[in-house]
Amino acid sequence: MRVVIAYYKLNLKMLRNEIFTLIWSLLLPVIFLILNFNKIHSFYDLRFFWAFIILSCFIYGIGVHAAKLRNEGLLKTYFSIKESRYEFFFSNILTQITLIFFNFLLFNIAASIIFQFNIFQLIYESTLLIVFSIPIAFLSFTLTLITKINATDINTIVSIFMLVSFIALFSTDYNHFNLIRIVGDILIDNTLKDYSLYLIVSICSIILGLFSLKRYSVISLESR
Amino acid sequence: MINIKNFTYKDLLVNVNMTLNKEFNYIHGANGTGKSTLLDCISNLNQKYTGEISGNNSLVYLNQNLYFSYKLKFKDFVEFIFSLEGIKNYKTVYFKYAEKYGLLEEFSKNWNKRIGVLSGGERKKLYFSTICCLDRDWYLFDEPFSGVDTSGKEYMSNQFNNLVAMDKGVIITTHETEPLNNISFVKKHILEDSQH
Repeated sequence: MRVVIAYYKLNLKMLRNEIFTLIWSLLLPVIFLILNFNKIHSFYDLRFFWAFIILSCFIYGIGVHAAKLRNEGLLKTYFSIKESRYEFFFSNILTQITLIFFNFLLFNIAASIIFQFNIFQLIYESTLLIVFSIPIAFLSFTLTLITKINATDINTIVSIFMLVSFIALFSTDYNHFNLIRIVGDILIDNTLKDYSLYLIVSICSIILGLFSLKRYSVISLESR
Repeated sequence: MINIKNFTYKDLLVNVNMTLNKEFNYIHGANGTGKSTLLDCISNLNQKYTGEISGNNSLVYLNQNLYFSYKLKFKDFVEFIFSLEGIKNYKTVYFKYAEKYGLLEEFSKNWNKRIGVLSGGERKKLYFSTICCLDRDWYLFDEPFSGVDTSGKEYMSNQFNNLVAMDKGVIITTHETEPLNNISFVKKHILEDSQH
């Protein structure tokens, strides 16, 4: 736990100094919220915005981040002091959850003012979504298994994927496999089939994440 | 003692055999001969080799790049490294060390400064000195002298001598041989280019 806290404190100090990172995952949802103002009728309509923020933070802050650090060999010294892949991973989850909470707070305050929704209800529902989305944090770590594409390219591909998914959500009806929709809909899933599917997907995500973590190396795959 | 037997890493390092005693070990080789890769393997971070490395259980390895923001402070680095190690009262321990090497004034002055405003040499001294505070049998450094001024190199050489006097082993790679003149005894290990 001591090592998790050490990494967590370091991550928070770094985040505190990077305002752009802090607001980046919030920027696009806020723009889309303004553009789709007339499509928001109940607080459940905000679920896709929450899902986008969660996915952005988990994918960039955990999977892409770990791939970048590996490719630049930046963790070698720390891992030589203490082999700490699990602590490093869990501290990143904690960091991203903290960032998501921060973003949600700002987003929910804005939404409650604009749409007159109950702020406590928004906080409750969005927090539930964070908890249910934790398996995605594990799944995002599988990005480190990609060895043929460098971390910068992974970052670009993820950015395009996220943007296209988010735009598609508001402009087409073909979103059955849209990850943002799937995550957002966790909040309104209520059949036994939905629960079972969620459980199976979550267990698979966690297993895949742990497998990636076990294979994670701090040695760059691109340079010697 | 660290023993390297029949060590091969891809086609870069082929059938390397080396015995590193607890003294000052200087790994010499031209660019591209695999010095840093060898340190990665000795430190157990890279295990994709064939052959055997033994006696490398208790070590710390300072490489050239670290995950740390230039916007954070000098003290944040010390706090983080000492937290990983489980050292409490990080300021007291670090200042005690600084005092021993006559660096208390310099480190006190830099304590609350952002890493980004330090010179490259000051930054290296911070990383180096913090790592040297950790208790290990072996200390590995990849190019420790690069970007460090004469007094910084002198301090590092003194530190190396002290580590060896405390029955610790040191392994370094460097292209700067002049600071090695200040070291009591240097055991040189030559890495040949296996591709030519």
